[in-house]
Amino acid sequence: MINEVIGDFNPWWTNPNAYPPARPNRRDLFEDLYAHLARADEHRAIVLMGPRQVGKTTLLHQLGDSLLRGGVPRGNLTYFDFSDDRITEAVSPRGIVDTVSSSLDKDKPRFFLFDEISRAQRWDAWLKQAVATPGHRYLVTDSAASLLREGSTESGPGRWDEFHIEGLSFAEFLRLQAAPDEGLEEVLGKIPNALVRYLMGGGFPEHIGNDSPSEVRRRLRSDIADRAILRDLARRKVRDLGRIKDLFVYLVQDSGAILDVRARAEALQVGGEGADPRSVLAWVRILEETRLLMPLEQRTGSPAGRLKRRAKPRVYAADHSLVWAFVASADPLTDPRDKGRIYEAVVFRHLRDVARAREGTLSYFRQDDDQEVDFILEALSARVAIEVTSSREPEERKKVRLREAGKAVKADRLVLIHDGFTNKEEKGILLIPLRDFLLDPARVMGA
Amino acid sequence: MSTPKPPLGKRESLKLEFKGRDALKDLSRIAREVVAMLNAEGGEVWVGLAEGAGAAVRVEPIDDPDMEARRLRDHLIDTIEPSPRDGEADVESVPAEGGAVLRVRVQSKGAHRPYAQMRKGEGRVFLARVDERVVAMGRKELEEAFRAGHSSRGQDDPIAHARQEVLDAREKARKASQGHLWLLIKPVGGSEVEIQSPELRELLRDPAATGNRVHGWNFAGGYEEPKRSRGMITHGYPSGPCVEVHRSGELGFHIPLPVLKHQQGGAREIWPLCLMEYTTSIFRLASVVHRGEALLRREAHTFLVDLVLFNVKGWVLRPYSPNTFGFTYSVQKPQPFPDDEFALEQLLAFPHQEMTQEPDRCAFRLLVRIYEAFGHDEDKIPKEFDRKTGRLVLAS
Repeated sequence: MINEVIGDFNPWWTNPNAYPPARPNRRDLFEDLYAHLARADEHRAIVLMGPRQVGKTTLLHQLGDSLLRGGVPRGNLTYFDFSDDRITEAVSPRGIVDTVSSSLDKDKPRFFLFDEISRAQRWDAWLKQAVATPGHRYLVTDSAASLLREGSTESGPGRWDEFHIEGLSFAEFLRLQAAPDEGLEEVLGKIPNALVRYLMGGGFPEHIGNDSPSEVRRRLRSDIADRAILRDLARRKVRDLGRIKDLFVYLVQDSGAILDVRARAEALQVGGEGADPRSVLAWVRILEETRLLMPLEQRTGSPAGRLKRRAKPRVYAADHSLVWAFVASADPLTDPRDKGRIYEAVVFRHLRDVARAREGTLSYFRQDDDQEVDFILEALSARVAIEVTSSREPEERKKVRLREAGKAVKADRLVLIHDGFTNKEEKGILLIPLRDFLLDPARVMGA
Repeated sequence: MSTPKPPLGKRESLKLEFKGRDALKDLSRIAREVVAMLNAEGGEVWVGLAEGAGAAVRVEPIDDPDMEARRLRDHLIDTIEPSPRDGEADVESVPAEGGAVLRVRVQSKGAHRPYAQMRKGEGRVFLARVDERVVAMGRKELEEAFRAGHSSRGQDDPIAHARQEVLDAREKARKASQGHLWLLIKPVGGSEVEIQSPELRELLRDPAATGNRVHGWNFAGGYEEPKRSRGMITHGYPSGPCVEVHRSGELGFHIPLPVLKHQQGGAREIWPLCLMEYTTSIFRLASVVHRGEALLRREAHTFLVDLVLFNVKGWVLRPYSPNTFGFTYSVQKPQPFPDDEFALEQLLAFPHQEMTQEPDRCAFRLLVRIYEAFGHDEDKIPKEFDRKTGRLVLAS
């Protein structure tokens, strides 16, 4: 039976006109992954991690399509999804690798694209050895929770390179809807209220084009709460799933707040008893591993300016759409607090890209309860203090506070992202509309 | 004013005509009588009174008389040229035994004669009433009517003047056209809008302020700054939807046809919900702007509406809502539009009250014309346009 499933996944082995079902528009990560895969002499695998629904499988299909069109012999590309419903018993990745197409060219490298690898038997031990096989290139994916908890942290270093994929950036969201040769400005013109649509569900490719916000919210809640948390974590034998789910909902609804473990432990009552704060902390870690939540460390105002690791982290929804999906109000953009949370989450998501690309760090600054900056980006020897407001026009008070806090953290640049139209430098602060920042965050941070 | 009573037992005459309930299945039968009366001495057309031997013999109550009255009113305005206005053809529902019937009161005003009935495939048909019969007007009668109408209208008829301006604007848009939907709403009667007011900018930025969906297919958007230039304010994108609000109260809107597509549709397919929502959003904007609140200095009495789809040849518009099986599994293959452009044969006219109080219904009348051009009857317009309430209701 397994041979039939393999055959079904790889129709190009027998049909010269068959290709993986690839969509034309690609995520930014595609080029990096393709370049890595193409290094056929390297004995390292690629592990692609990211939460559910962000497009990992689509990326694999696109990579497979490009490999075949780039000249890889048809029998030398193997795709397999270990989460396929037809598979009723644990499958060994070795068994898949040993299944050889009659059109295999033994003199050329073989490429293996394995989806949901953690469903495979002893995948990490196998991959550790498999990467040493000459001429074999492996790219495996899974939701981060499974990988991080089971294998990659113990076995990974030196054996594979980790790539993280998040929800779509705003530019990716637009590009996915672009016609060939269409620029971002043109796409902005053709998608009605593009930024609102992006904020409501655009991080998840599946929901692009869905015209019903209430349906998008319902589906996101179901996909995330029922599948990513309850089902996936249950498979990992994590206990107390009900309370973990409640904790997740709370943290997303209060995205960007400082994590107060004790208060949360008291709130998560079962049978009249609160939870153990240590358990709450452990649950937060588990949720962070699912990549659905993102912590942001605090930075002190000390001369050394060190990060206070795990001191008072803020916890953000990894994708702004999650805030939209889980908050109570019917139209979150009309509720100033929800709107603020959504704006901060989307800015944080884009700053992470910048920090990753520049090998920088991100933190927030808070001192004496009156000096505060939402984000501090430190990269390429520069420190940028970034404040976010959902007001149409940034208030003077906000600017004054940003200048003072910027002085305290010795920031080289100050950026205030807002909901208006003003795009200019004003007394040392770059005022930039949210949309302009999202279109090119790297330029805004580096200018 | 006392409630009129159905003239049961009375005979048809120069000023009296009876039609049974079935006439509502083919409104052109009623429009024919109204045109004939407009070109004669006026009168009354009763719908829902069966006729026998030239007299009204029986009441045939009409289901949902208010809706039917509205439908008939729209039909008369859309298919009679010039459009009846200022009480020239008032439709009302009248209580009758077992329910209600409709009465069309026709007042003939010589200044606008001759009136014509617009018929599919026949163009303008000029009719007049002689005794209880309807006859085609002869050449001599027509010449006289045109002469009389022209001399009494003079050169200052504001509607005729506005109509010419709309047609000039259409011509200008045609020259710049690259395949787009062009819509113009022109107030008649000297309205003036305060285009520098912050309220207007807010209307253009916040879709909810005009009753539109924040993420919907509409003219508004919070992340583009409205721009002011020479007597108007514009909002939008060169490559996308763009709306203009003129100081004169005129609203212009254009949108490239490719922007009316949807990823679930074909390469040259107008997506019904896109078309409906963009169009309706402009009428909603017109409604708020012209309601006479903070923005308006002078009020218009009538609005003329024009629409053209430029370079629309080869595009299709499927019937029904995309959320129904009829859309996906329609037996009939949608026919590509055969001509280079679709333009309204006759401008639509709306009284001030209708435009400001029922903008969605006004939009619906325009959509009926577009669907008709693509070969679809009114019932093929997606169900998201609620026929009962007259409102476009899309997923929130």
